[in-house]
Amino acid sequence: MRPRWLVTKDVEIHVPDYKKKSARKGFLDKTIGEVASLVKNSVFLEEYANRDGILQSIDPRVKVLSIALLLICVSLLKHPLLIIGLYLVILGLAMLSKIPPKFFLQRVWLFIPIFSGIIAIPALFNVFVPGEPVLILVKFQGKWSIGPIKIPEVISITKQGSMAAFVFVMRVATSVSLVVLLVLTTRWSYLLKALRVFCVPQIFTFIISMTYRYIHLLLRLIEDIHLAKKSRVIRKGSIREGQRWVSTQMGTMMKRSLKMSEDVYSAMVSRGFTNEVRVVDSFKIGRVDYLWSIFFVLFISLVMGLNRIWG
Amino acid sequence: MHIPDGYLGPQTYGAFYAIMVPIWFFASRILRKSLKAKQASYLALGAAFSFIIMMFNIPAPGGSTGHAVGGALIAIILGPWAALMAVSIALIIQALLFGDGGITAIGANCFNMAFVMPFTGYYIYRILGSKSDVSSPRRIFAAGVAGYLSLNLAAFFTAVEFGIQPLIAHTPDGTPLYAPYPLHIAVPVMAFEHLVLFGFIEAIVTALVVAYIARTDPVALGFSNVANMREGMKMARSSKGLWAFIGILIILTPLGLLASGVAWGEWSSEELQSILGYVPEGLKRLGNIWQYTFMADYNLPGWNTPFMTALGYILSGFIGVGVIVFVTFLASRFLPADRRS
Repeated sequence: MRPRWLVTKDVEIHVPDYKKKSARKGFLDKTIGEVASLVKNSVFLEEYANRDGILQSIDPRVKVLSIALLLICVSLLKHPLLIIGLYLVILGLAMLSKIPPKFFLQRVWLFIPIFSGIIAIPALFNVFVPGEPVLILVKFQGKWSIGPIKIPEVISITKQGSMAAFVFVMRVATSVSLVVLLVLTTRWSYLLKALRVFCVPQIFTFIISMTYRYIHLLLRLIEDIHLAKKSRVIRKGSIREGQRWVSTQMGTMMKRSLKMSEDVYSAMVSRGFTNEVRVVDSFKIGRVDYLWSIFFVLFISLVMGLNRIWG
Repeated sequence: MHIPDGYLGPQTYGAFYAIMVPIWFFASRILRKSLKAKQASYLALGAAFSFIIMMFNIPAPGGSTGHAVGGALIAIILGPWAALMAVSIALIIQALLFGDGGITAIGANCFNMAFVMPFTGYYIYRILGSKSDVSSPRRIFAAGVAGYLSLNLAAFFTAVEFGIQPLIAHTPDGTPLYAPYPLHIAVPVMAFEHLVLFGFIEAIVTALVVAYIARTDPVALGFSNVANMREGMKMARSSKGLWAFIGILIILTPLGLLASGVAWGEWSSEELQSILGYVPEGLKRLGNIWQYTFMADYNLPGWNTPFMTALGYILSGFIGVGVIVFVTFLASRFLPADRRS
């Protein structure tokens, strides 16, 4: 006998609506994606660090110190023009360091300050930041409030608010650019060794670099775990199931890493580790570094001087 | 909760670096003593694990997902001092190499997520779960509450750090220079999202992981951390250097009187009136609740000459520190020792 569905003409076949489902990624895909982009990023970083640009040729210690001072300088600036000026100088430095401008701009503007930009938008209005109105949007009868936020009779975009939002976004973008520039032009092992200019004890730079290596190992592990799970399930489980699964993985991960720390310790001891860290570094301050330092000091003094006059 | 560069002004992030450096120093001394040569591998793997915890997406209602910070969880497993260092190292790597959280804000981020969160989480877990077996439901519940409350406390500190920015740094015409929202906006917004969503994610994860470890490897819970804490308490009692440092700080406090203005974040209603031109409604209400301080303005009634004021200041400093030390001492005495140790 033929099955009924072969005879009847219009049967409803349930085809899962992939388009609809892929619109919202599950927690498995999200973690896999985030891990992949993290690993990809840190691999890409090394590529620019080996080019022969201006920042790559400076001693890492001088560079780390300069960037740290510039970060503090950015946080002290008051006038928007100064922040914009400093930002342009940083863009110039990126070009001189042979980082493609498009890549650099994308990394800064697509990645982080979009988030800060969204945060900054409400600041435009007098509801959140009081100030002199520039553009009046709505007028209400009487005062009222939503929770802790008082709604004034007139809602307007204020001079103070828009300036605050602008300065805020520019400051975040400039700071992020500086950090991106440092990370792109320095190999991570040099970067961590250079932390010693801030009197960070050697044992810490040693632990940090060890951590960095094991992060990559563990990242690989959780990517595998998630891929294994993804390839074995055919439907979305309940939230509870998902939470339980993630927690179990975290617990396993924790047990693994504690076990691993024992193994690593034994391995270190068997190779002669005595809790004393000696880091071999070949850092040398050369002519380029002196030249850079002179220019840098002059530049910072100029910026801070202008900040005093205009602020 | 990672504060990026540019959100906090130099006074704030500088202050948090100044707070964190002695804490790191003290923690590393404790760990060097209790872990000895093992500390490098132990902390490196602990830090790598802290980093990895923040990578997991956790399913939440409505198809959304969230990340856990894991401060309380790591403190429950590694002990608060090791957690402090492990989470700090994870945060430093995130800031330096992955652009997550600002470099200037490392001090503040470590204060919120590596200090406030592990310590409050750890003590809440110990107090609520005391006298119960490692795998009892009460312990699991305690872990959940520890995760929930410690995350909310960390979020509260973060919100206050944001909220004081427009007060301490603005141009003469009132344009805020850093994070633009005042306390009465920053605190409720942060508190809301952490009270209703992220707090529960943190609670569920903390409770489930602790339950899993209690089931599979109960020795891992409440052994290393107790040894660790005892060591810390012993050192705190015996280390003269730390007490001398605290003493000097207290004696130096009257210098604060010479500085113009008031401490950031510690305004009275009248001072707020003059800074802001208005007093936030909530603060006015709060201000009226507590009228009966023993030492208003950190001074004793009637001591009004500058010298007496300075003396009163020092005295109230000593009493304040004394109260904190006493409470900590009581906590260390009356927290029951773990059965397994």
